[in-house]
Amino acid sequence: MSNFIIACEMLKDEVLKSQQNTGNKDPVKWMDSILHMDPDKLRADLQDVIDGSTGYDNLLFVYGSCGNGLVGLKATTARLIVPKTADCITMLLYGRNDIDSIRKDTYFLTKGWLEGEKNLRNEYQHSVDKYGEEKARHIFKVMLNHYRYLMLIDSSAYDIDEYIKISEELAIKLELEFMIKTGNVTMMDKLLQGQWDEDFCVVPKGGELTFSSFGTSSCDTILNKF
Amino acid sequence: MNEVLIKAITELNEDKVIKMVKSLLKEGASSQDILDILQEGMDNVGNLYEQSEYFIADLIMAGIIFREILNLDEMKFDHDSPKKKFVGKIVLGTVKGDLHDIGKDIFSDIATSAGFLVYDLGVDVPPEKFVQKIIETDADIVGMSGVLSLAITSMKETIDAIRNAGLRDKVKIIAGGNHLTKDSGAYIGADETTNNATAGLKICKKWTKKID
Repeated sequence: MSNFIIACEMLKDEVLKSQQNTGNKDPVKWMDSILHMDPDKLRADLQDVIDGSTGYDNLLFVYGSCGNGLVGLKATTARLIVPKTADCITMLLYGRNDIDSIRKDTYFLTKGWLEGEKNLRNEYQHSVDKYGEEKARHIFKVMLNHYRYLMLIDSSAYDIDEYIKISEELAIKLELEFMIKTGNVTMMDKLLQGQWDEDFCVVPKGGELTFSSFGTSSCDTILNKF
Repeated sequence: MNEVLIKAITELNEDKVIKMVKSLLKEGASSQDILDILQEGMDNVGNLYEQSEYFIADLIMAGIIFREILNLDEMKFDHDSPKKKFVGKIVLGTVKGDLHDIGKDIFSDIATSAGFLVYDLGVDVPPEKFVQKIIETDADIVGMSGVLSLAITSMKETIDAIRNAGLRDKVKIIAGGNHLTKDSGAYIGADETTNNATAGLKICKKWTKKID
C-alpha cells in the first residue's frame, strides 16, 4: 500500500508529531493554511493535488470538512481517506464528548493558528493600525460577540510555554477568559496507521466526497459519477 | 458622487461614508438608491477579502458601517405609515448551538428597511422556538442563520420540527451562512441557501411577490 499525505500546514507540528509517534514516512504535501478562509479555493486546490497524485493507493487527508471545503472532491487517482470531523479543532480535541458545547463560545488557538498569515493576533494589530485602538476594540467586540473563552490547545506537538504568554496577552486585549486544554494527535495516528474505522470516510477511486460523508456514520459516496 | 461614495465604502472610510450618505439623502436620494450604492461598495470589500487584501476585521468594519447607515432615520421603513404595509413576515434566528449573529443582524436590518416585519429570536435558538413563533405570527418566511459546521445539523432539526408541526407548506425557508451550498441546503431541506444578506433579501422579496 502506498500512501500520500495531503495536510494543512496549520497542522504541520501535529502531523510531524504523529509521524514520529507512528514511524510513518509517507510523503506529505503541505497546503497553504490561508486556504481555509476560502472553501471554494481550498476545494479547487485540493482537487488539483488529487488529480496530480498518480501512483498511490491512498491519499490521506489531514483535514476535516473545513467549511465544506472538502465536499465535492473526486477520487480521480486513488482512494481518499478523510477524517469525519468538522475541522481541525475537533481533530485535535478528539475524544471529548463536550466538543460542541466547548466550541460554542470558545475561540481556539495552537502554535499553527498563531503563526498563520491571518491569525487573530495579526487581525487585531491590523485593526489597530488601520482604525485605531478604540475602533479595533469595537470591531472585535462585534466579531467575538458571545465568545467567552480563548483556548490554547496543547496538542503536545510544540513547546507550549512560548505561546501561553502570547495567548494570554491576546485574551486580555480581546476581553476573553484564557484557558489551556490538552489535545491529542490520536486521530492523525489512526489515519497514518491505516486504522480507518467509523471516524473516517473512505472514498473508493472513482467516488466523490459528499456532504453527508461527514455527517453520517457510513460513507455516502457517489460511484461512477464521472 | 456615487463613484466617490462607492470608493469610500470600499476603503471603509466610515466618517466619509456617513457624511456622504446623509448628504445624498438630504438631496432626495431614496433609501433604495443608497442600499444599491452600499451594496456595490460591500461587494468590492468582499472581493478584496477574497483576494486576501482585507482581513475578517475589515468585513466586520463593513458590517458596522452598513448597520450605521441602516440606522439613520431617513433609511428606516416607516412601519407606522397607514400607506405602507409590511411586505411580509420573517421569523429569524441563529440556530441552536451557534452564537454568531453578524450575518443575521445585517439581514434583519436590511429586511426591516425593505419593509419586512422581522421577528428576531436571537442566537442559539432551539427548533421548538422557531415553530412556536411561526404559529404565533403566521409568518411567511423563516430565516435560519449559522456559521459553525454543527449549525447544519441544527438547521435540519429545525426544518424537521417545522415539518412535524405541519407548517412546512405554510412557510418558505432560507438558510444563511458562509459554508452553505446547494448540497447542504438540499440535505437540511431548505428552499434556498445564501451566504450573502442582500442576495437573501432578494430571494425573500421574490417569494413575497408570489405570496401576494
